Formats: sequence, C-alpha cells, structure tokens
Amino acid sequence: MAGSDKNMIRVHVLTGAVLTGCFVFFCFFYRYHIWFEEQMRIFLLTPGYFMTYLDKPAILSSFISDFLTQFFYLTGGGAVVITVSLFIFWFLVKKLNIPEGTGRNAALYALLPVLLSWIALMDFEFPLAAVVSLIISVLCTLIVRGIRNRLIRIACFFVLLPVVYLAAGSTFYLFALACLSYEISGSGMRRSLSLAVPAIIIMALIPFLAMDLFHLTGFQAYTWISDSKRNPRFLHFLPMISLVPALIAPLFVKRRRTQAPAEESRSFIIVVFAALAVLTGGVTIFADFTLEKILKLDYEASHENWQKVCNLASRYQLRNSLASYYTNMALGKLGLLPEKLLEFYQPAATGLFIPVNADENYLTITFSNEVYWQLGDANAAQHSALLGMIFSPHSRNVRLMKRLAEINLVNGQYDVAAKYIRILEKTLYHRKWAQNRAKLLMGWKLLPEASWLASKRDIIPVNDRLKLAGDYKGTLKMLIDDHPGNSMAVDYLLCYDLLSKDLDSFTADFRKYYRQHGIGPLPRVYQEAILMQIAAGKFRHEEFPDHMFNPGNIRRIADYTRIFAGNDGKGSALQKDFGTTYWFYYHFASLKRE
Amino acid sequence: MQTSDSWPVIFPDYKGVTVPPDIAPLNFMLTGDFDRCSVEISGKDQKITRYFRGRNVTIPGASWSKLIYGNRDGSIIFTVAALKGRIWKKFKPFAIHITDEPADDYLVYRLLMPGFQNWNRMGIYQRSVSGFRVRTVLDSRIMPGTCMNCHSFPGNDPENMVLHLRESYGGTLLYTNGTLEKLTTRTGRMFASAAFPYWHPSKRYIAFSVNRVNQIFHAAGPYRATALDLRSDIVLYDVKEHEMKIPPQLSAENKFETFPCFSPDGKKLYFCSAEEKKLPAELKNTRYSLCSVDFDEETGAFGSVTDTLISSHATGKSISIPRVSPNGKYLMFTVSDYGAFPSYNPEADLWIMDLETGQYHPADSINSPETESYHSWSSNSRWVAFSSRRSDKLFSDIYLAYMDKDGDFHKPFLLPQKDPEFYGSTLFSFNLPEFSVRDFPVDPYRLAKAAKSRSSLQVQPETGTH
Repeated sequence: MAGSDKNMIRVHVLTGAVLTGCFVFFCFFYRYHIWFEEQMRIFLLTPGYFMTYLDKPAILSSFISDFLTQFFYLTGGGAVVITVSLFIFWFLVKKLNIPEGTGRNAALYALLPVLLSWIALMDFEFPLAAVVSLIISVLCTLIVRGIRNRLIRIACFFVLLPVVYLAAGSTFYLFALACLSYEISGSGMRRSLSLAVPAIIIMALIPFLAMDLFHLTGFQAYTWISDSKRNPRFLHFLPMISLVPALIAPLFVKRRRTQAPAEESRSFIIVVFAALAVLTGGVTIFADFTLEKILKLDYEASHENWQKVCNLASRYQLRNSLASYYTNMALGKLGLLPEKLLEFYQPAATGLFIPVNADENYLTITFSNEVYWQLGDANAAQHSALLGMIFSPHSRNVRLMKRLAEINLVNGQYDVAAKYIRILEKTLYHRKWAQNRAKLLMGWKLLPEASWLASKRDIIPVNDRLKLAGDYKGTLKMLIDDHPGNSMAVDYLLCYDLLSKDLDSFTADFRKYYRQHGIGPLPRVYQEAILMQIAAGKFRHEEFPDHMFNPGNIRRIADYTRIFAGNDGKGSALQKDFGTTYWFYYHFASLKRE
Repeated sequence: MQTSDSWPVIFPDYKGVTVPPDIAPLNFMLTGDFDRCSVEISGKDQKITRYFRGRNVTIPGASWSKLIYGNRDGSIIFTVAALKGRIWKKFKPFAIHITDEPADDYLVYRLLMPGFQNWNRMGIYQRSVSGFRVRTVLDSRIMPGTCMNCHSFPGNDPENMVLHLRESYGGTLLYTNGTLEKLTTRTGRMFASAAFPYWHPSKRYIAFSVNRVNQIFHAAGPYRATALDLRSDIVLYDVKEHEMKIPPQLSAENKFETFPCFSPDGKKLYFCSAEEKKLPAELKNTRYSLCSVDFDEETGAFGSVTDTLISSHATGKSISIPRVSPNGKYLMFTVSDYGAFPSYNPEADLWIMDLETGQYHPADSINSPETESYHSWSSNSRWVAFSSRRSDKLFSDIYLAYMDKDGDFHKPFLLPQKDPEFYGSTLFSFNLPEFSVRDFPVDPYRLAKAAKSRSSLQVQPETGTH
C-alpha cells in the first residue's frame, strides 16, 4: 500500500474516532444538556410557524436547526444530530480542499473547525444553528466553485452573497472569503482588486442594509448567528475563524511541496496530538459538568423521580444553590426535608426558592416555577413560567408551555390551557402529551388521567389575597392557611425560617402551623432548633413530650455547648461531630457568592 | 351535499359584524376537523367563490376589496360549506354589513408577551386597517431592555407624537413639526417622570399623569395580577415653553388623579380621581370617579373647581381610561370593580356616556365576560378600537366596533389576520390600540437614536411652581 493511501486511511480513522468521540460525549456525558436544549424551544410543523423565521437573518439555518433540535427529545437523538451535522461539515470543508491542493492534509485540516464546533457546542448558548449556517456557507462555496465559466461563477458569487446572509447569517463572511480566495489566488493584483474591492464593499453593505430590514443593532447585523444568540461571543466564531488562515494562505504562500511518507507520518502524529490537546483544553475550559449534574437533577425532578433526585444529590454533594433547590424539593416531596436538610449544602434560604427577576438567566427562571408547582401555588408557578417563556430563546419554550397548560387546567382556565395545548398538538414529540391533556378540557372527572389534576386542585389556594412577587413566606403561609394538611408547605416554611436563622419566626410558625403525625421524635432539624430555643427560653420544655426528642440529641446539645464554650466559639473543633447539626449551621454558616 | 340549518362555527366570529368599507379580508377558520371547505361571498352584482384545503378560509385581497367597496352601505352574504369524509355540508349563510364610513387608515399598538413585571421582547407597531402590512414603530430589537409604554397622537395624527420609555434609555420622546426631542419630564416637585399622556387639540399642551406603579399578584381565582397605582397626579406640559405645570387641583395630597383626556374643543379636561388609600391593603376599596375640570387654552390654566361626573360612591365601580369621541358627543371609559389598571380584571367593561345628556351605561353590545380595557376612537367618531381578552382570557387582542348615528354599537370584530390561525399560535398580547390617520412619519432608527442620546431636554417647572 502506498504511503499516501495509508495516510488517507489514517486520516479517515482519526476522523471516525473524533466523530465517535463526539457521539459518545453528547450521548453519555452531555445528554441532559441536550435534553434541556430541546425543552427550551418549540418547533411547529405549520406554514405560519415558518413565516416567523422570515423576520431575521439566518432564516434557513435557524429553521433547519430548530427542526433538528426537536430530535434531541429522543434518547441519543441529539448526539446523532450533532455528530451527523459535524460529519457533513467536515466532509464539505474537506471538499474545499484547503490548504489549497494539499489533498490528504485538507481532510486533516477540516477536523479543526469540527473540533472547535464540538467545543463550542458544549457552551449552552452556542446554537446548533451556527453549525448549520457554516454548512450552508461551505455548501454554497462549493456550488459556486464548481461552476466552470468564470464570469458565471463571479455573477453567482455576487448574487449568492445576500442570499447566503439571509439563509445563514454572518457565516456568509466564510462564503465570501472562500470564493474570493479561490478566485483571486494566482491572479494579478489588478484583476484581484477589481473583484475583491466590490465584493468587500457589498459584503460590508449587506448587514448594514439588514439592520433596517430586520431592525437589528449594528453589532447584531454584523455578527448574526441565530435569533437565540443575539450577542454572540468570540468562542462562537472560532469554528469559522479557524478556516480563515487556510483560506487566505494561498494568497501569500506558494504551493507546498508534496510530503514524503515519513514526513506525512510525523505530521499525522503531530496533528493527532494537537487534536487531542485542543479537545482536552476545550473540554476542560468549556464543558460544564456541574450544570450537567444539575440538569440531571432537573430531569429527574421533572419526571417526579424524587428518590432518585435525593440519591443523585447524595452522590454529587454539589455546593450549588440550583442543586440545593432540586434536592430540597425532592426532600420536601418525600417528607424528609427537616430530617435531612443539613446533610446537603444549604446556601441560606436561596436553596428553597429561585428569585424571579431580570438579574437571573433564562435557565434559572425556567426552573423557578417548579417549586411553586410542587407546593401548590399555581398562580405563582404561572407567573414564573410566563417569565421563563419571555426570557427563553425565541420566547418559545415547550417545557414551560406544557406547564402553563397544566396550570390553567388546574385553575379551570380552559381557554388559555386550550391555546397552549393546540400549539403543542402541532409538534412532533409533544403531540401525544397534548392530545392527552386535550381530553381534560372536557369532563376531566371521567378520566383516569385526571388524578394529578384532582390532587393539584386539592392544594391550590382557594381564598384570594394579594402578595408581592418574592414573598416566599407569604406564599407558604397562604398555602398552609388554606390547606393545613400541605405538609410540604409547612416544612418549607419552617426550614425557610431556620435557614434564614430567624428563630423567633420559627418559634411562632412552629407553634401555629406544625402538626405532628403519629408518636415519635420530631424531625431532626426541628428537634435541634427547638432544643436551642428551649435553652434560650423561647420554648418551654413542658410544651414537648419526651418522645418528641431523641435522647441522643439532648446529650449532643450538651456536648456541643461544652465544646463551643471551651473553644472560644471556634467551629473547627465542632465541625467533625456536629457539622450537619442546626446548631453548627446557626453559629457558623455564612453565605458566600457562588 | 347536506344542508345545515345552523350557522358555521368560525374563528374569528365574523357572523353579523359591521365592517368599514376598506377592511382587510376577513379570513377565518372553521372550528372542527374538515378536509376541505368552500366559501361563496355574494354581494350586489358580484360574487367570489373559493375552495380551500383544510378548514382555513383566506380570501384574495383584490377580489375582496372590489367586493366590499361595491357593497358599501349594504351587506355581503357568506355561504360556507365544508367537506368531512365524503360528505359536503352547507351551512346557513351569514351576513357581514359594510358601512360607508371608514375607520382611520392605521392602528398603532403595542405587542408584548403576557408576563406581568418583566419583558424581553416588545414593540410598538403600525398595522394597516385595509391590509395586513405591519410596520415597526420601535421595538426591542432596536432598543433592547427598553419598555415602551404609551404612544399618543393629537387627533389621531402621528405628525405630532409623544412616546414614553422606561428602563434602559428611559425618557419621553416628543415629535412635533418634524422635530424629534428627548425630554426629561421630571422636574423638582414631581415624584416621577410623566407617564400616560393626552394631547390638547391645539397641540400646545400635553396632559400627563405621573404614576408610581407597582405590581401585585393574586393568590387564587381568575385575577392574575394587579398594577397598584401607589401615587398619582396630573401635570401639564407646555410644548412651546418647555414648561411643566403642576396644577394643585390635579395633584391634591389626599387624592390619586390619573388618565387625563382633553375634550375635542380643548375647554375641558376629563380625568379619573380616587381618594388616597393605603395600598395594597385597601386596593379593593380603591375606586376612581370620573371628573372634569375647565381648561383655558390661552393661559394654560385649569378652573378652580373640579366636577365629579360619575362618582365611584354612587356606582360602587372604578373608572379608568376616559376617551372623548372627536365629535365631542360621547365619552367612553373602562369600568372595573376596583383599581386604576383594569387590564387583568375580568369584569372590566367599556361604558359610554352621552355628554349632551350626561346619561351613561355599559356598552353591552361590545362587552364580554372577559376584560375589555384600552380603547380609542377613529377620527370620524364612528369606530372604536379596543383591547379585550375574550378569546382566551390571557392574551389581549384588538377588536373594532362600529357606532351608528343613534349612538348604538354594532357587533365588534377581531382585527383580521392573513393567517386565520394566527391568534391561536401567537404568544403575544396586543394592547394600547390607537387609530392613526397616516403612516407613522418617523423611522425607528431615528427614534432609537433620539432615545439613546445622552442629552435630553430638561423640562422646566413653570415659574412659580417650585
């Protein structure tokens, strides 16, 4: 076998390895990012929906990528879509044959933008549309380059410049550069300038005109990738920028000699290491595995797998308020919140509720309705869900649309629910869900599917009152006042007091709202707080029968007090034995910025 | 073909509505699953017949325009048939009445997603009444992070315009006689910037309410949110002198005054007034009366006595958004159970007052069980555009209604869209509809440039009002 053929096989094996790695990464190590990505969008198979893409650039790439993103719903679907997209991208870049005339090296070089796209796709905000845009631009370049007649080729180039901008946004720079470099490489200066100057002027003018047509700011018009990322970062352009040196090299450097087989082998090994270095660096810097874990907690919580959320939280032990948010929610649903509260990281009360305001990002705003929904405050859940919709990319979010449909079904606002359900019925993978919910619009009592609806209606507030957004305690007290049996709300209220270190409120709320079921010790964190309050004279010991306290706890508070006093109030001596007690939290926990 | 003795169920419901002679095609969809449908629209000497796949009826613009123009002051009859399986069903024909009195050429409205306190994408747009063309006046693509509150034109003519912006690039844009300025309207004694505007017909003055608004949420029931007007006064801006007058009779310490509206002759200012209450505790007891005060255009002074035209004590209701018809005969206002902002009150209805007799009553033929709130009159006083949440209780849409010479309203109709399924899929609310007699004269980038300008004209307090 000739050395060059061997080298070509090696290049293809390397490409296959990279693409396989990509599939494995997104399928097994980033699957919850992929799943969440699908939830943040909606794709409707209607002409009217397509029309909504016409009011901004990158029409075709945005439409195609949103079409493809709906397959992220399927297990492995996202990994397949990304891998196939990157394969097509690699194949087309390889066909560009850059650096010019190097054949095998072109296939190798084509891996660079693929690797950078993979790295960029790890960033939650990098849209698939950017990769599709690059594919469109390279494909158009190949079409133009394939025209043999120079005049027709140049005419097509100029005609396609605005078309590619409309279809693929700012990646049309790549199209322009690739076509120009092909055209003027080897041409005389005069001929080159006569083509390059008008092309550059038109290239600069197109986004300028688009500003007015699409009502964009100047920055947006010149950097437009997708409607979901209106102000892209430098990272998002790296795949495109990586092609630039190879595209412009032929303009300045003469064609390189063909490499000898031994030299090819050395080059190949260098390339393999370089690829590994780029990938390792990219994964290290840009992959967010903490977020992946949080999204897994979110996924399990959205499927109401509460025990699994607790198990995962125990395993991960993340020091992150979003992780605490889902952990606490799961503990609350299982009735274990006051028992296990301090076994997990608690960033004061911010692990119970996520604030909904303009300072939060769409990710956290999307999550914020979940706790209200689980507690039974349908109107607060609706407020959060509507805000989540507003701040989602494209202001469309299939997950929140489902939630809004459910909330309005619970609230008996059937017309609003019907609107969301009708929209969801036009999707590929949420149609069935919508059809099931549509049955509830008529005679829900008759259907077995309605059990969740009945259970939600059992806990939603019945007496209207007014409250400010972010009045968490007001929300919880309202829920308990209307439904004293809402034990999750009671635990949330008491734990809110405890995590806020507001023991006076805890004392008052405990007296007013806590009802013990059965005979036995109180949940651990309540015992610990009450013992503190008894010591402080805020509770009388007689208020609590002995069975409410674990005898060990009474001994432990005495030990804690002794060690605390003996060490001048320093926490280090207490950390080991008392690190998960409320006493330790009360004395030593301080909130730090994450 | 089967013949049904029932009318077709269509959305939007255009059966029996009265429309202006230049209205855009009334495209609609049949409710229910149909494989095909047909419509025959017949008028005097003309007929259009069209067949459609599915259940959506979209009428070609040219044929439609010709048909309705030829049937002004008359009616056209729609005969709808639909195919399901192999059976065509022909429904009972219905009529649409066409007046000889046009509405104004454009509607200018705001689009935003329902979301209470926060927004991401919003904009003010101009829509042709006779077609489907929408033009951007200003939107968040050009002005990210800016809330666009109110747009107001004297006599429905945007040759003069005021637009209030909040948050990023906040300020008031004033367009007069081809000049665009950004104003800082807050002067020494004002507790906030000027907000809800109304032009004096002379174009010399703009009355503004100054409001401190906060939002509060309902725990249960059909009410979602309520905007609290914690404090409000009415001020008068002198466009010529760049002066802000703070009339004491419209900025009383123990009263909330809001929603100013000049009479078409400019001699009276209507407004809403409530006794100051402790909010939010007493929100449900906060009710606004309809009041008026004389105005002297020469001196820019208000009369010393304010008249209460409709007392909230007498009605037990709260009045907001008074708007006088340009012919000066009628005053339309919104009535709700409490508060100044009826947008989320399902019981909010439009009422009409005959200014000659002083009689007032609910405009029953245009109201619905859901919220009706903001409204504006066409310049010929024959048409009213108003926002209503009747379609689904959450998203507000724009309806148009005709008022005949006897002062009676005809059945209103939803602003037609090219795609009959538009309203079913849009996630945006239409609000603050204002009629406009001409194309908006200012380019959105010019508005944005003025809004983003660091320099703005500081309005001066009237001499002697410090």
